[in-house]
Amino acid sequence: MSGSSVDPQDVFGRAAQLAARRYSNGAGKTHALGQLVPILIDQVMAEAGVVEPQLAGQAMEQAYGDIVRAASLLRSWVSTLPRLGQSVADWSEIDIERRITPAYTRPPGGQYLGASLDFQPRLLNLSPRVRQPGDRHTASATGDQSQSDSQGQHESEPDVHDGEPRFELQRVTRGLEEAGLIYPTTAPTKATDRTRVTSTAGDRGAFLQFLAQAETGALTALAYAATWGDGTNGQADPTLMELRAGHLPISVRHPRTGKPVHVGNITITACEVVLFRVGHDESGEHVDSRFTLGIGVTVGVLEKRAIAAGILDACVTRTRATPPPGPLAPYNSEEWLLAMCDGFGTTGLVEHFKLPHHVTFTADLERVTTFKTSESAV
Amino acid sequence: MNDHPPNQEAASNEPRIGYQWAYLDEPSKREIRRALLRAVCIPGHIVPFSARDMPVARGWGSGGLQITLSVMTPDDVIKVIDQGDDDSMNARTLRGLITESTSIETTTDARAATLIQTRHRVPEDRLAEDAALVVQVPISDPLRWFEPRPTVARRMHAERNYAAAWLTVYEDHSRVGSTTQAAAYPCEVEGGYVITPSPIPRFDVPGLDNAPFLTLFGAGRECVVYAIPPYTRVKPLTFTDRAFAIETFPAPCHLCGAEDSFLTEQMVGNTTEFVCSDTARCARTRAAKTSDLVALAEGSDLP
Repeated sequence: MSGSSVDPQDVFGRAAQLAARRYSNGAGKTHALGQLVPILIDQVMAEAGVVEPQLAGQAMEQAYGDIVRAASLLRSWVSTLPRLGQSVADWSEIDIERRITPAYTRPPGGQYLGASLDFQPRLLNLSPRVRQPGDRHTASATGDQSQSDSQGQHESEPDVHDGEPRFELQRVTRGLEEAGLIYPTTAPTKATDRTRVTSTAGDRGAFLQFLAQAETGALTALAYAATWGDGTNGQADPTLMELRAGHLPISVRHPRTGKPVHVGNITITACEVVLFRVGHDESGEHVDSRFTLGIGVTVGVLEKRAIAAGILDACVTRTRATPPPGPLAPYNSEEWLLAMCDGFGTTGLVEHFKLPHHVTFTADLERVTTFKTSESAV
Repeated sequence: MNDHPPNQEAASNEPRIGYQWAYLDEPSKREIRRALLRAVCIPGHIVPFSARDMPVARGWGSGGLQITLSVMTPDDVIKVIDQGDDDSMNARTLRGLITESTSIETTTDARAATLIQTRHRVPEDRLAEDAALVVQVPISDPLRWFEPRPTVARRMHAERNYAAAWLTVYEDHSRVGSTTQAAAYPCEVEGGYVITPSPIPRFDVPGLDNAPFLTLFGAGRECVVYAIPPYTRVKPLTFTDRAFAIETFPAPCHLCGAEDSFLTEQMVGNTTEFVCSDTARCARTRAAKTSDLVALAEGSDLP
């Protein structure tokens, strides 16, 4: 990634070209919208918690581009489907398309810029066509994929690797863990189907799953709030240790044979964040300066979602282990986040104010006029 | 997503067509310079300005970029670093944006630069008296951790109400025995306002004290600038009987052997090694050693 011998213009241009290829061949190529606005389709799938590019495109079309509404269409459809199984995947299985480690310049295994628009200047292209006709497939050209399976319709896109080597990469945080510099936390190995249980309080696996499906704007704003602070919890300084994007093979256990069966790959972004916050140990007597590890995962190549989720997971994990006295800041509170980052819920409530409220308003009005009268009577 | 990424046009020395010299319009630059003049006149005072939307994301150096573009002249020689490194991706992007619209001369030698835009470091080299250091700032207010409301924090600054900041220093020393503040250590400027020097390591803080150069801080996302004029006292908040401790390293620079520079940790297999964060100075030291060896081999006297 570094080295003065490389022409920077070529590096950035190449990353942008890879992005153009990645997005024109990627997630939603089974629907016209997926070719036009692939990141949007990824976001709808992420917020819905379902990898179905074709249906995500249809949902967007049906919702006239309202992301939360499209995600809610998918979610209500998913709630009609039975749960047939679950699988556990390790992020070491991600077929890397991009890997960056902001805390270390040259990590073992190297960094791969991959497809990225990060370093492209944000200059509006004023020429009439931003993308050339050859950049994307024609709409409707793709065949109908089987929609009877709810998961794993993503195809792997080896081309976008740009010939990068594929091998198992060591997590950069492993060194910190081995040196005892990471606060020991519950490993999120348990998979919980959040939609089929009554409470997930304290279940880190379920919380991570929730963050993975959280509404992007709320997630970003609350992670930003965590870096801003609320004046009560001292310094909370997150560092993105590692971010990986690529294709994760998904296997499920065959219902008859019991053997794992590869059912497809999903495009995924995963990251690890460490939070530097000097606090106390459980006894409250000793200072504990260890980092807290946060994990952020999202469907699609949606890096801000993964990073925001990682920051919030670290905040909640540390707060859960050693709760500070007094009320919790929203970004430190699992309960708050569960309420505030559910786009289906938040937009639903805000929009429900369009419903008739004449009964409650009459009740309000009765109180207001009563107090006004008693005031003037005094 | 663009077949012809704008950057590819940057190789030319001519400013980009459709944009004027140094990107921003002149009234905008003048407004930013006025804010900077105010900042220089009241050292350490946080001065609001209406940050423009720049072609980089907010939080990626848009404040520093606006300052650089507003104060630069065609005669300036600019150095752009990120974490001390001229080759870092974001430094390259920002340098590209600056040179693209100005064809201004660039350097990696901090001693030769008249204008240095930096993120998270003060260069190890002694900067020239007429040089200006432009610092990108993520969080502009040292009181943010104690008071998240900017309006209230402004009043606290006006009243020099730094009790909370001092209390934190006291609590750190009483609880832990030293500071828990890693980077961005709060500093008192000329006995008055307390600033955050941006997330530079504590190692860099002494370099700001009584420095011969001008330091301009820009936070585009937070829409503020502040400044440290040349030869201004910059004192980290600490008690007279508690020394201000900078970072120390287990070994000299693995590459150049420097013992007086800020080092960053690199993972090499299962071990780590420490190398200079100031890559240009490190390379220069190594080149000088090589040429010394060549000179010795040729039998000449060393300088």
